[in-house]
Amino acid sequence: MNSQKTKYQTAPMKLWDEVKQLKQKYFEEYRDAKKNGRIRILSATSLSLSMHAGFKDAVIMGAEPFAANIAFHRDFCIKCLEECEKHGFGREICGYSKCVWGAMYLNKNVMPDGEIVDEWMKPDVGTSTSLAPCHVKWFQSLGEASDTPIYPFDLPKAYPYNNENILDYLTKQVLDYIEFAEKTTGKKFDDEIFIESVINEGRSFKLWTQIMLLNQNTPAPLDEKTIFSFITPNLMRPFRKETGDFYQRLLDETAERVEKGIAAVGNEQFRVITDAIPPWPNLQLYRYMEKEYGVVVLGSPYVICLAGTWMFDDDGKLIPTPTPEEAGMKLDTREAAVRALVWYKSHFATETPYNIACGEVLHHLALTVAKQWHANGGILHQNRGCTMQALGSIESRNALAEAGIPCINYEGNDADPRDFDMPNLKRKFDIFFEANKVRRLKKAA
Amino acid sequence: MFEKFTDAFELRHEYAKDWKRRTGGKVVGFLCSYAPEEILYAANILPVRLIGAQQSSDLVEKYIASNIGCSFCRDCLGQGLEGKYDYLDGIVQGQTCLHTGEVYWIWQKHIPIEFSYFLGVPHSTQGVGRYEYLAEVYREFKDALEEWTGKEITNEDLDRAIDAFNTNRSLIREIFEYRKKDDPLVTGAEALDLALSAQIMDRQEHNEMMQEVLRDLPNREMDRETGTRIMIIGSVNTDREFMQLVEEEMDLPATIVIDDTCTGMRYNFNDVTPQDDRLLAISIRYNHRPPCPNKDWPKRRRTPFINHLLKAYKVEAAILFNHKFCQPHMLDNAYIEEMLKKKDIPTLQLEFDIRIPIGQFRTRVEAMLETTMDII
Repeated sequence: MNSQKTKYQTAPMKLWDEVKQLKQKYFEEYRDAKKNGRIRILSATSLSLSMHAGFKDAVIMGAEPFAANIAFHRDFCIKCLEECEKHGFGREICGYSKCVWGAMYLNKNVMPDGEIVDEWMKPDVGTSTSLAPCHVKWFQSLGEASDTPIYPFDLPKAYPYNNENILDYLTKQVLDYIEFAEKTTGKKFDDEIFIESVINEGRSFKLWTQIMLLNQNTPAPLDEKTIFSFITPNLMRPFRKETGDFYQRLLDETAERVEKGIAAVGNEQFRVITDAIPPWPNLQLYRYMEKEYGVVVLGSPYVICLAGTWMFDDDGKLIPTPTPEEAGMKLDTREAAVRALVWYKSHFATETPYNIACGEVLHHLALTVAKQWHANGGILHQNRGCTMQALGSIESRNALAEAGIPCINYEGNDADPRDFDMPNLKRKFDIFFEANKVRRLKKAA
Repeated sequence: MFEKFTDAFELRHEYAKDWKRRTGGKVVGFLCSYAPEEILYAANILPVRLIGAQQSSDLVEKYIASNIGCSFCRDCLGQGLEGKYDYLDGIVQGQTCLHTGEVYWIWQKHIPIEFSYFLGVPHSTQGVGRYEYLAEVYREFKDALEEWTGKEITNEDLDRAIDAFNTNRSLIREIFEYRKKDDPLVTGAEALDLALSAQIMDRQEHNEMMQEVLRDLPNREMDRETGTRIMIIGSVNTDREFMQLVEEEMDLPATIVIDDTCTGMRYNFNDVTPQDDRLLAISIRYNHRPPCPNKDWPKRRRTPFINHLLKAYKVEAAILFNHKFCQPHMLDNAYIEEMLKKKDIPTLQLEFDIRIPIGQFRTRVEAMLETTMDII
């Protein structure tokens, strides 16, 4: 327990070191794939990583965590961004794209522990989704510049969910992809492993929703900066049984914290939500809010849906989507498993709420999260590195404000440390919290 | 000869209101050229493209930040929020970019409107299953229109609409043919007015106007020097001021002979090929049309299209433009500029905001023209 006197007791997460080691291990597996006679698949995390799992010789890397890891390492990130700018890609282009292109141009990369690697870890196959137009253009350029076979998925309007036309369209694409990847890599797709992977992903994603629901408690057992680290297994290995086992332990630990009243922020006095990818190179902003004002960041539509699958119930509440198994779907063939998978993931999962076609519900979703997670306010990131998320940010603020939840937008960038004004942001936050009568915490002697 | 198209476009709001009075029909606005106008027209609805007025509006800031939102889309939304489109009965969006999508959602939420519909047009027009998927999206759209208007849309209605739109696109292409001449008989500014007026007018009326023009066009005498033959490449172009700047206000002569834009040739290049399933036929047309960058993947179909136009219209220089914060075009422009450089075609990249900086653009265009005239 923390010895300093706080309003609530607090304690570090027991699984903290383990999740950090897992991330390092995933990157090492990907880095060493060639040495170990395996292939690399770099894939958008939206839709699903399980569709690659039938290739048992493949090491799969989520494209967004791959990019976010570069963004997190400021010095290397800036080198990547500048390299892209030399190739004619301006400041306003998707930050994640530029991080990965930069690594590709430099033929270097960075590991989670900060070690610089002398290759960018070129994939054998890349897949993207049209979640945002920039995402597919990211992979189009990557494929052309590095001679990598690319399969981009067209992710259509995903709301209202369960539309047969959408399910047919997505199912056709996933089945087509599997044949494409078989031809491209010369590897056979194993249906049994794939079906098992779909079951595992359902379990892992369901567990994530249960963990997130526990954060509705006061004090909140988790804060968003910590949650960011715990998303990793579902964004890289959702298809493995061990991932589900890990999340079961995380659920147990979180439930224990709730039971014992262990807080993420010992002096929790103001609960806020955010809305988007955070400024990875500038996460100290979260600690500023926590240390100075006892603000706990509960989560966001982004992080809550990133590693879980949700839907609205009849009362408009956000609830976990039943897994394909729970919904009684048969998973006995490749086709059936693909259809079940796309059915499950075409609810609010990964980043689908941000799909332009979901503007219909995005702001409502932000408001629902704020209400259900008992937020006192909103700190919304106008992320200049991701147009997809930034465009809706003001309307999310409007939705919260109209419901009487005070809210501010702040300007930043998920992947460009140069595009962030910390001193001014601190001043802006000070004013926001003071205006909402959140007193500044006294410094410890 | 083309003044009537200019007038129609400039008085587009008056035209739509008058059309409503004359016909008793409904008017529906659409943001992007991927909205299936044929289906609207088949329901006796006038589809009008939502276009900005090169005017900033403070009202937009409440919904879209000026440091992230595409300038053209902010301009469009501003016009809506200012009430300039108060005659619309509905609004429709055929999914393309993030920016037009956001404007659609804001519009249908904050500007009173009777009918709104978002069509999940495929992001890619190359993927497996896209024709059937889009045809089904159209079927759902047709059902929604029938419910709204209380009138069945028959195959005959669809045939009438397809014919009007095919004729319109084909007449525009026929007029554009005269831009291929060594001394083009149509300027870029005139071509822009022609194409834009089509997108806000009843196509049958527009077709009649074009047929009149075509009677006299072969004998037209141009009182201007052609100069450098320029192609413009970019997104939605509605900036007449810019076209006139290039063609009329430079020290060196120039003519914009063709474009790859979604208000010009991309919009008018291909027709619906009739077949029993009319909605599938329309789906195939929209999937096959020259794509915008959002829909141009995994293969780059824009490149052969641009190459075709470069040759057919004997292009000597290119202007690549994008609206501020239009990421899809920014992404493509780096690639296209490289391609044009390899062909030794002088290229200039310009970024359009709601208003363009005339002085700066004049200097930059003039400098590019000098490189093509071998006078330095």
